[in-house]
Amino acid sequence: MDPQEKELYTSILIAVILMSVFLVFFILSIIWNQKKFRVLSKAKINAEITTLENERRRIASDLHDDVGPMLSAIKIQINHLEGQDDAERKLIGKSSKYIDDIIQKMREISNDLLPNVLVRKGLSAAVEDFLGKMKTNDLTFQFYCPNNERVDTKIEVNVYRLVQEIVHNTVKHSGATVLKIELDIVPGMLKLTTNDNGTGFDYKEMVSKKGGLGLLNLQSRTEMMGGDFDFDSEKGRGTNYLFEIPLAENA
Amino acid sequence: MNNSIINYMLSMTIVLAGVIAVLKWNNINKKDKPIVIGWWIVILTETIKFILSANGNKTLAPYNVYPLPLIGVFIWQFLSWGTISFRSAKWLFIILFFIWVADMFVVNGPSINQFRNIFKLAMAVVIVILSVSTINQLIMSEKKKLITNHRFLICLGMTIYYTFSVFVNVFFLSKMSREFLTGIANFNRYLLQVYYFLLFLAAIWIPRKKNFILQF
Repeated sequence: MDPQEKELYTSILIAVILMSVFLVFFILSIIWNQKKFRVLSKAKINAEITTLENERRRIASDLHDDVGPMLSAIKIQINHLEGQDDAERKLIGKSSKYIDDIIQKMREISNDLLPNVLVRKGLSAAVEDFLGKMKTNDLTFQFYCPNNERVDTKIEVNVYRLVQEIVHNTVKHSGATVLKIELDIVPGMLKLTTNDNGTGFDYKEMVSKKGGLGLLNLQSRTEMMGGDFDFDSEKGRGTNYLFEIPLAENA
Repeated sequence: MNNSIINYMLSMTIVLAGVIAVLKWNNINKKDKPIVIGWWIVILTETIKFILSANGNKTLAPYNVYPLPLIGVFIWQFLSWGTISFRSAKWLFIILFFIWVADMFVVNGPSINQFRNIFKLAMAVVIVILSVSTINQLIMSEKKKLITNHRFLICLGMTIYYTFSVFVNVFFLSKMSREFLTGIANFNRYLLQVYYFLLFLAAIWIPRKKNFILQF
């Protein structure tokens, strides 16, 4: 090496050492900022979902506890009316029937917002009840829950919403004839696995068409519970979902 | 111990990552498999080079040829990670293929047995760009720790190693003395160990594919 090259070599050596220091700092700052972003994002999703669930609970309770009794009282009063002629009696009968329909519809809405069976009997019974309501001639549900012990209410509600989302997606988009759902509690973990025999989807294609809101919902709820979410789908080969929710973290 | 054995041993530290990945092969998600093939291309090439060198043959031909399948595998990997689209991947590989042909057969005539580095420079630039893009995507989308994320570790290693590789190859295009260039290239040896260590960690943390099989 001539003296000029030697000088250049030394400069390069110093530059490389300095760049390495900057690089280490850069990497550490990426990791630290990603961690901060992750915590903030989780807190945001948590707040959004908690607000949503609280609001659903409040509306369900208002419908059930306030509007329901009022409608029942109106119905009793209408039933006490005695029409003066056939036309009036027919009108009273019709009104009573309408109120019955409204009460029925209101119960359904209240139940959709927060299923009573979920609160009283737990996740397994609520899923079974929901699947019973969603059953059609084209789609059969197979539900397996070997261990139906109760877990934290927050997890029960969120897992129930996951099942609802998957069932709705399957009904709307998959064209499947069978949807298998398995809910199991293994030590420290709740596992939800689903398989359908529908058309499946191409994730990249779906994202490029700005779709995938349902998947995003599934991901957000799982993330909120500190769990893992994975899916496996290919066109023409059905869709599988797997959720692993830690129970200790949420206790 | 002579220099070629030391060089071979240093370049073989990638075997750690390669062996771990092969042991986990059946449990690795198919999206993560191309990079493992890339590691084995490197292991195979280094071994061929060592054998050729031990028998007194020229080692530049495998050294000039292996980057082409390697970049193909790397592009395939970035495609399956979703960093680039199929269309971009296809064009990128075609362009790089023509650069390789030009480097080996057109610039300075057919010279596959001589030291060539235009293609290696282009390849390093492409790898750095794709790795940085993947890291950026991970920062925004990853919900878990980055430090144990295999993609992050692989891309970090690639960014560090191939950035320096660009730097080294630029010097090789200039008319510096052989001693100077050897001094610059020697940094690569140490950086390669950092890169392979990151690959080793990545191989340990490559996630197992999920079991979607139901009990009924």
